[in-house]
Amino acid sequence: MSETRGPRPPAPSPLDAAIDAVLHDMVAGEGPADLHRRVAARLAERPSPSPWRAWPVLAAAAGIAVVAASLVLVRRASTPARSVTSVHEPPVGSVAEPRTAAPAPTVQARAESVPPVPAPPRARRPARMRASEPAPEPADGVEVAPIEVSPLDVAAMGDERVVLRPLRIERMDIEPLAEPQP
Amino acid sequence: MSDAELVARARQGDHAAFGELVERHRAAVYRAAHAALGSASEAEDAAQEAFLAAYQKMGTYRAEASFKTWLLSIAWHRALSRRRSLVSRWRRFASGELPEPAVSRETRTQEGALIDAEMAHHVERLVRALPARLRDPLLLCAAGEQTYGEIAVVLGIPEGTLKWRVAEARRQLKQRLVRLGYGHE
Repeated sequence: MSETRGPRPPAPSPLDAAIDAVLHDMVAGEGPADLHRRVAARLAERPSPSPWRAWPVLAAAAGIAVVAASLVLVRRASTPARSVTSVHEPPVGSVAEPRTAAPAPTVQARAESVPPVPAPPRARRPARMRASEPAPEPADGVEVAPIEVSPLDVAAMGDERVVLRPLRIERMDIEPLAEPQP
Repeated sequence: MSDAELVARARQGDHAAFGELVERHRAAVYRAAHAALGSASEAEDAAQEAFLAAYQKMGTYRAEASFKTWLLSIAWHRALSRRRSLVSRWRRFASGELPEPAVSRETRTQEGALIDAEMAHHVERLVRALPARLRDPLLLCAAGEQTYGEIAVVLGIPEGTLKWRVAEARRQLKQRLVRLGYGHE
């Protein structure tokens, strides 16, 4: 660390002297004489940190640790069970109806009085419902009108070919410019 | 008894030892705070806060620098924090910078009394108008309590940078004083 003392240049000009004098005034002072007493009073107000005073904090920290540990244990206990069911669960779509667009005969099977109709397109249901839930049986004596689905008439796309013709390049006859006349 | 011995005792809860440290470094801490805040009353409060903070942080003092430099660093940062708070509070209620705290006649030294009062007023106004990066080193050096090396540690800048800033601050002050018609460079 440098021992170079301070701010004063060796031979101050009148301006330097004036600046020094003002700077000195701006930071002059020794501080309050009773600063020691004031600081001591404030220190006496503040209790020194002791381990007994840390009990509430330690208790709170311990409580948080216990809750966190129990959460981890509960999660660990529940995680293997979930993984077992997921292993034995059939893959989506294997047991349930195939996802093909072929009409399913479910309507015919459930209501014998109803003539077979092609099944309307249905909204997709979650895989679990398909696998486990049986379809609701119609109540006795209730006739369910078949839902008629008119076939869509979609015109086949024409197979029109696009014929590409080669570009023709026509010759241009360029006449030489006439000589400039004076 | 040296500072190191007093620090060791204060760490063990000896309030009297800490009191001795307060008494030894009271002026230096107060002047550093005064340099940052420009107000005697604010500097007193800041000095008190700095000593309390130093007592609380006594366990972190590693004797890499002298106790005085460590203490002044705490005081300086506390004072800067107080200055920021004062400036923001002032800006909330009024526009512009903090009002200039006038140096009272009582605090003027004999040296200061020799120069023209009007010129002193101009110099003080110009010092306060300097950017903080030039004004702070200039005033800390003017406090005359520390070496350049110690002040550089407190400000957290290299010693060469500190010297340049002090010289630059003086150059700008003189240039502006000349423009005001005081002497020539």
